[in-house]
Amino acid sequence: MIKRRERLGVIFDILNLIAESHNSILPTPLLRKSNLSSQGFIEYYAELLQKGFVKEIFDRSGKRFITLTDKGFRFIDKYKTIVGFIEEFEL
Amino acid sequence: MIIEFWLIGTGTPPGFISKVDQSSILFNKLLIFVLAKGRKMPPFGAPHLLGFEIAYTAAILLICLGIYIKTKEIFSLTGYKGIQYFRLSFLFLGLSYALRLLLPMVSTTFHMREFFGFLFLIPMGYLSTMALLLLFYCAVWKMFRFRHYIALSNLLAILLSIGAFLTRSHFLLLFIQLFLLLLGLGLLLFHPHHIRVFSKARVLYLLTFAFWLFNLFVVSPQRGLPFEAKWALQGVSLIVFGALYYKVSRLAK
Repeated sequence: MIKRRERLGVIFDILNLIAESHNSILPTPLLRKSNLSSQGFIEYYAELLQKGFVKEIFDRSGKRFITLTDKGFRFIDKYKTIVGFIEEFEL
Repeated sequence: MIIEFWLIGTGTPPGFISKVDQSSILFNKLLIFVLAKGRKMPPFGAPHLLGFEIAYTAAILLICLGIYIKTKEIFSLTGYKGIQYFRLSFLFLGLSYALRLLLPMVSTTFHMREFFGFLFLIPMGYLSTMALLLLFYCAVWKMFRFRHYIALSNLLAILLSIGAFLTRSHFLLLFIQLFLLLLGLGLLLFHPHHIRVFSKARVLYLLTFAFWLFNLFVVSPQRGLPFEAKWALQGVSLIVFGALYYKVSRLAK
């Protein structure tokens, strides 16, 4: 049975995908690569925007791209530490 | 005893009581009778031990605040509930230790000792109960997802603190918190999914809980317990807290 990804793991995967795409990705490819349902992706994306992990930028033709903020980069850097902390203290 | 404490505090020679002093003494007696129902706070024990108690409490408070501060960044990045409960429990625990020290200190140095000594029972009761309930919940919240746990914990903590104040005794707090500890252990031991109760982290939480109960017990002078034994156990508790702080600072950098 496949273990459901934890919330923090999903957030890390999404942010990592953005970072690996040279920190600029369209929403549709991100949805495809994130392995989430549309509804699930919308919820996570709203949370990432609201918490300031990602921001939207628009090019000249009005296309919307998603990029990481400093906080998003910090999350990626600290992810292993965070997971280690949660596992060590069984939180 | 109250008259002696008061006279010592003001430097008045023994045996000499002015008319102003007499009316103050009578007022004190009336206040004690009305507010404290005539019951007296126990003394803190030998004054020369006060220095050790202050140092011990300061160490515990600093460790608990250190844990709270060190986990600030990882909590702000994740908003993870387990980390929130963990941080808050140590913050409340540190404040409870500080209030535990103030409880008898106010009683021995302030001439309205009987009222203010008992008044500290309210914040100490609330903070310590919340600390222990949050410490338990941070380890089991994924298994016992109970939406109203925090609200219920607050209600229990408030009721317990008021109960402690009304009974003018920290022993009610001690017995109820001990009951909560045993209840928590029972829930874990008899959980249908056979949880590993005595894992490293949970043993540390259990010891933290137990040492708090021990420190609450020794607020009153313990005629049967030599101060060496008390110091030894408090020394061990410092090691446990130190180990927790070391783990937090190593993992949350």
